Amino acid sequence: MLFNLPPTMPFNVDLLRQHFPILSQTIEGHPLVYLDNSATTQKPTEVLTTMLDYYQTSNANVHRGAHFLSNNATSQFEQARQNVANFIHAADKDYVIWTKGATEAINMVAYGIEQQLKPNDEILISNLEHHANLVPWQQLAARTGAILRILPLVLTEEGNVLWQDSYQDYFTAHTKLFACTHVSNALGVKPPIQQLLRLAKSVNALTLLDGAQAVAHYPVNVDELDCDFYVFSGHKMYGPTGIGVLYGKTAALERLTPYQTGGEMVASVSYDKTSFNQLPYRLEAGTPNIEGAIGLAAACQFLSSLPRNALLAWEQELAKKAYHALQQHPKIRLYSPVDSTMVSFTVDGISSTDISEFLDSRGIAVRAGQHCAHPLMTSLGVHGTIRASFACYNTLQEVEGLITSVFEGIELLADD
Amino acid sequence: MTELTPNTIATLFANCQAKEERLRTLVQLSKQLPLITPEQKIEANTVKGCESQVWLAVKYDAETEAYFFTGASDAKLIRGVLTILLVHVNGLTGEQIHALDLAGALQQLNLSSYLTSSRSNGISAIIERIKALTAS
Ligand SMILES: Cc1ncc(COP(=O)(O)O)c(C=O)c1O
Repeated sequence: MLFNLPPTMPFNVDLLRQHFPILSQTIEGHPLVYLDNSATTQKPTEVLTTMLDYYQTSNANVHRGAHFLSNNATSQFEQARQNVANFIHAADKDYVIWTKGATEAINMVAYGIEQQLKPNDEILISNLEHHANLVPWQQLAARTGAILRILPLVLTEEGNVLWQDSYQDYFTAHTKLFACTHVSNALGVKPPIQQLLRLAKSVNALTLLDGAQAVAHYPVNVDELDCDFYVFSGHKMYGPTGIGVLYGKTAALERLTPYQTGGEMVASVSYDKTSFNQLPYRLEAGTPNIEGAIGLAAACQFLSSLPRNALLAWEQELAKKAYHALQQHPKIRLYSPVDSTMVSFTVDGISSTDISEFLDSRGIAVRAGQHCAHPLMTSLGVHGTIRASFACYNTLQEVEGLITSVFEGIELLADD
Repeated sequence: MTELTPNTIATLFANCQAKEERLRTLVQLSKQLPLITPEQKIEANTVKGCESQVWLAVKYDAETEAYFFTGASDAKLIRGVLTILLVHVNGLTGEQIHALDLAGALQQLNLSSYLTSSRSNGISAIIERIKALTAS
């Protein structure tokens, strides 16, 4: 039995791969090597059949009750909320708001607190952010006269964040919100979240963590993190696209003005005025992505049935192996820390897109470019990196194939 | 090296089976790109909308009404694609250039991944830029 193993037991990656039919295909004669998991992961059959089952047996609109199917769909939908809440250790299922992804969740907060900001209030984000956790705050600042400040986290040669006492100076009485990535999508580094959250709380700022790159790899406990908001996308954690989560503490969620209005989110409506429904529905206007929510809950269940510590150790082992092998090449510069679940690197004198194009010709899928983090790339002085990001179903042979092909690609593409 | 024409290029690619061979051919072709001068590598000559950095400059010969492009890119494979495009257009009049189906030409060489992948905008942007720089 593959699943329901104790969390530290090793697992069999070959058996695990059987749950991901997409991985067995070949591309122009090469076995697919999928190493673009930070962009999106593949989906196990458990998630796919759950969604198909829903449509084949239970499809109806939710919360509109009065018939068997609708009640069934509603209870599956609300059970999904409970399962996702359990997955991130939220104390109550109603702290989970469905969104279409991390991006929408962040926008929901950015629009939701707009009326509470005034000129010269400060929004603080780190210098590691994905555009999704940058542009909404920049635009919010532009609309309100608030100031967007960037916390300049210092990276060591090894790609880790170096703690500096000066970080403290960025948290002031003006700081109204602090938003930070839990794990960087471009570099795989984990900022010192606990210390930063402590600083944010000391000035009573709202706190938001972008967990898009964390949930698939690291156990997330929002209760322990004690942040006001935590956001993530289903599709990066073996779930479907088009569904994600805004987790919030009640007091934080209550501060949000709904940025969309319509059906489902109302208690009573007259032509003169509307009173809104309670949380979480107040923030979920319109018919929700029912099969997405159920699919995401299935992904949580899938992950929870696996030995998660062993999965993480495995992903780290893959990344470490790749890291040490790449490090041997005099032309390669690594930007990810050795203990992350990805490698992010450049090759001196060779464009990252050339390398990824060459890898693609051998069926190896990686991402080359700026990873939706233009300011970060600029500060690193690179035009883009090559990112190979690992998931639990990747293998050591795949890492070896990656390394061989990167080295051969360098040979072909280097200037003579 | 034999002189490059659309026909010799077509022959080169007709002999390629796998994508990797096409990439190797692009690397060979990249060496024959008519290069722009370092002074021309300026903001005004960049092609916007590419994941890679690309520059294009053009000279017009009023007597023959022919255009001659030079180019550059930090990406070698893009330099290979640029070589192909410039082999098709250099020495032609604006009217002739505008009558060309350059995207179609790349497709015939089985390089359509350059048109459909995320770089597509890049190559399409280069083709548009070539047409914009030549009067029809
Ligand atoms: C760190 C991080 N934040 C936010 C996002 C946005 O996620 P989505 O596009 O699913 O909304 C991503 C996606 O790449 C990400 O990596």
